[in-house]
Amino acid sequence: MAGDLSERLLKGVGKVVVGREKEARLLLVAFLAHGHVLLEGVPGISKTLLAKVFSSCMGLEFKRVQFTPDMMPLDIVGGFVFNLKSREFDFRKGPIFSNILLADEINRAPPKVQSALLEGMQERQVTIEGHTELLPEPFMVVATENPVEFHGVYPLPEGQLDRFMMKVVFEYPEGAVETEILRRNLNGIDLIPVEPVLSKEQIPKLFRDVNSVKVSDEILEYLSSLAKQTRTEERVILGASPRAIVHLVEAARAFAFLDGRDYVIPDDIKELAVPVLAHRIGLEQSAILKGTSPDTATIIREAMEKVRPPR
Amino acid sequence: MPADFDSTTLALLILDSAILVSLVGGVIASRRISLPKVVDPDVAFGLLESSVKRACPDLKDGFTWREALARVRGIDGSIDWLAVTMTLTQYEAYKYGEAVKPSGSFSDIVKLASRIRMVGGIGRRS
Repeated sequence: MAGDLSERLLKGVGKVVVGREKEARLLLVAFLAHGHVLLEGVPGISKTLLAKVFSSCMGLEFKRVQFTPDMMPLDIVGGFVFNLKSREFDFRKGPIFSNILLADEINRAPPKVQSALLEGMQERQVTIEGHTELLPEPFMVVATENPVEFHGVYPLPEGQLDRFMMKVVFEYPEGAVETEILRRNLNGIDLIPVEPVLSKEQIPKLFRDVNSVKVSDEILEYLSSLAKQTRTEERVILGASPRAIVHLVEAARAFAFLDGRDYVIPDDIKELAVPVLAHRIGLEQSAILKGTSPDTATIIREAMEKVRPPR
Repeated sequence: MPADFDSTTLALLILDSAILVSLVGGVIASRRISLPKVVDPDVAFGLLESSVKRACPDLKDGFTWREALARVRGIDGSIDWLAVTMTLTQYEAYKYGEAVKPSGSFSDIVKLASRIRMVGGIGRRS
């Protein structure tokens, strides 16, 4: 069922979104691993569309919030509203109470609003004025951000970034893909409804199956060595955190499951290391300013070249 | 006399041919025998690892089995890649997935290791 699910999802997504198979697969991996995803890319390259189609394919409730500088935390989590009939305060749920929350342009909202998501992302619950509400299961935040805007944006702090299991970078589509996008838009294909590829009732079993994927002690030691390597790099001031490594092994389990295996192999780790680790790496500012530092993805690739996987 | 000469020459020719055939057969047989019989997968894959490292000195220490096989896939020779891939899958299941230790001769892996050593330096594939 695992490989089949991946194929069906990609087929469903492909009906609307062109040339984003890798990104769609990463979304599925993060979803199966109970992770949240940050999509980064310039405007107009199908980030929002992919998130919408993905949730339609998964048959899940989807809500979109456009983040703006004048937002309040209550706009996300909800709050107490006075009920004139009952003369009491009722809790009105915010858009976070959905299966997939699309936080569009998350870096345009002030830190107070960004941090309103923190408890939900980590604890899968929200607390307002001492009142705690559990979020629906499954719950996933898909946030988008534009990397080229500098004015009126609030870069996500390290603590917030660390809560995202993956950062998926969207590049510009290749020529043939772009032509196909144009053709589909002219024919209105991006507006067609997408059928779910599985029912909501099947999801708990998928999670159980992913949790039963074995991870050998050697693989755990490899992960630990990899994290240590990122911390010992000269140009790095912030290496991979223990949470990052936990996210990596969880994602690797989901990746192995989708590949039809019940055990993780080093290749799973290497395939996911950049999307899971790169956004959590902090580089030395002086090296960045001088332009002598490579990007964080290169740092991760170099670390993987140095650390011997179990063979 | 010419008839005797002819029969002697013919006999010598036959003898020479027989020696040549046996020599060639011996060389082929010795080559076949030179492949060690390995019954432990760890030993077989150890041989493969040392061969890959020798043939691809630019390959960084962080390589995985699948990456190594992708790298050497282009070498000529009668390598049964399907068998190699299946043996690797069984080995991975044992190594990382608590499956039973695979048994057999691992001749495909040993043959591949030997072939890589014979070919020598293997460059990056574009």
